[in-house]
Amino acid sequence: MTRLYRILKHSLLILAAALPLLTHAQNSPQGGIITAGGTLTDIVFAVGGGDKVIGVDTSSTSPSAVHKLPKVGYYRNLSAEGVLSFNPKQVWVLEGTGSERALAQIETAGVPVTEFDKPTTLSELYALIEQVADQLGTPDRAEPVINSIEDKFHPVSRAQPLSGLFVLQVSERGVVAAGHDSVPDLLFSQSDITNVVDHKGFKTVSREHLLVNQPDFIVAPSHVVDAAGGREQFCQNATLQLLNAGQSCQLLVMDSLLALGMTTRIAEAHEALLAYVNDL
Amino acid sequence: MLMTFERRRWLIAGTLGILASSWLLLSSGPVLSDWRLPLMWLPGFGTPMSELELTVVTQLRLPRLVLGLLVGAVLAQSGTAMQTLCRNPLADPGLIGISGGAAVFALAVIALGEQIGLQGSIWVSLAAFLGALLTTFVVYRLAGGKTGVDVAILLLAGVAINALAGSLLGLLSYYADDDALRLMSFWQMGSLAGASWQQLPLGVVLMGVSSIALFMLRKPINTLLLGERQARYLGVNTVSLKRQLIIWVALGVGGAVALTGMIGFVGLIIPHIARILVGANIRWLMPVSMLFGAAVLVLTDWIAKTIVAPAELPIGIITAAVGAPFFIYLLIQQKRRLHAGY
Repeated sequence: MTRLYRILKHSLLILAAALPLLTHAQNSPQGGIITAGGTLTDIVFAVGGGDKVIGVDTSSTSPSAVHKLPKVGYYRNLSAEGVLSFNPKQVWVLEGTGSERALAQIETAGVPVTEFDKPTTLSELYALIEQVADQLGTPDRAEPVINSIEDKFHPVSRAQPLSGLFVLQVSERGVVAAGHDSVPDLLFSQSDITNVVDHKGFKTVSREHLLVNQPDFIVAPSHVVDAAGGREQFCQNATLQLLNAGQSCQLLVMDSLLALGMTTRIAEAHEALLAYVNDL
Repeated sequence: MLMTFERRRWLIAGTLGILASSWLLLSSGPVLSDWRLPLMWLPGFGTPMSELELTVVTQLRLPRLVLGLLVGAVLAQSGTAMQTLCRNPLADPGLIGISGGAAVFALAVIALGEQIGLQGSIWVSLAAFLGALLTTFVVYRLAGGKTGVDVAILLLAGVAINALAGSLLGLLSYYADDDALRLMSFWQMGSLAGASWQQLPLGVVLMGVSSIALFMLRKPINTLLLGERQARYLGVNTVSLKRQLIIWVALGVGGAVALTGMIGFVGLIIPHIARILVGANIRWLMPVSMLFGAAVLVLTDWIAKTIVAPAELPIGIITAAVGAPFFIYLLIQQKRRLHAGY
């Protein structure tokens, strides 16, 4: 044990010697906004507030300009000290950002935290765009953004009924599909496509249910298809092989952000979906 | 036979470990790092701190340090007590279902808080604490009999409760939405990041009372090492002792889980490390476990805070990563010693 004791003593001494090396301050003098939540960041940039943003969370991946900004961690698990190390003037967070205590700690340090409601419908998305533009002091920037979405994102109706299945995850144990209250479901309903699953959010769906309610086509986000090893491999999944759409690989691979995010690019997702189903 | 001075050395090592890790946690982090920070309140030592720096050190790092020391000490101490009570080296507070019960209640509030009108972290903490107490009560009633707690039934009841908790957790995650699912998995990984002066008094009272009570029971717990019957012959009221042990462990671990979520490893492995170092005598084992538990938890918390800065890793991921290799090293050392025949 004497040897062990010696090792422990030496590691303590090394630790003590290393302490002076830790003398540095990371405070940057910028003092701008930190945004957390992919939807919120996307809107801030869309209404022209991008130059005020000094850091974003890791769920903020759109537009491409955010990739140059430092990341402050994942928005559901922010670190108070980590956020404060950027010396921000304000912290803007989307509903669901956490932890509650970390946000309270940031406010204790004198940095105001503003929470924005998470949009689940189009009207809520428009309201959020207006609110963000107001907060940035440029209320007139909201209208063009909203108009551009409205112009492209109007409901269509079709003569022949069409049904779809949005697959979020695929494995040997089944598929996780998008139900009500999800962006894929909104895209389906705007395109007059029946969603073959009727649960809320993203849940595993039973094979029997899918056999009875066969979709005409399948949609999947690109990261899921890539992870499965490409289109062919994806369609080879045992559950999907039970479906006609799986056997013939009627599959639309969509950019993951487009397919899943309630962002200002939702009209693009709608257009991509329409282009695909019109060719069916 | 270990000499007293050799054991005392480990007490000193534990204390030094606490001092070093505390210094590290207070003086460095994402906002600013300066080894003089813990001394800056002394007149004439370093430059005066800015408002932000002062807030970070006094409102973020200091409560976090206090919570880390307390939780680390209490988890290791409870582990020591449970291993002695159950005379089972695998016993930790989780084994008899305390953490599992706490998790079910806390995650139920996270998953269903909106429906039942209980939203916010305070309700999660409260639910975790109630869950810990309630599970302990159930397990205790199941294992209780005329001759007091039957340790074998206690362990089996714990296994059953944990299985039930696992199934309920699965059910909760099925019904939870995406937001709640994320929160649930973060809660289960444990974190000291939420520490604040407002929530500390509750933790200090619960864990402090449990810790002092367990510490006072050192001597009678020691006699349990000889076996229950022998302890009884030595004049120890084993029925009351076992009951007290379970109550104090539940109170301490319930308080810890309520404030930090689930932090594994410390309650199981630290007592083992301490036992290899100072032997099984509770008189030495308990204080050394507490000191090592506190030091290890604060050190791992510092790593959790800095390794992916400005983000933060849940501490539960790191405690095992740091402690397990050290434990394996000790096991190899011990094996060599046994083979060498001394």
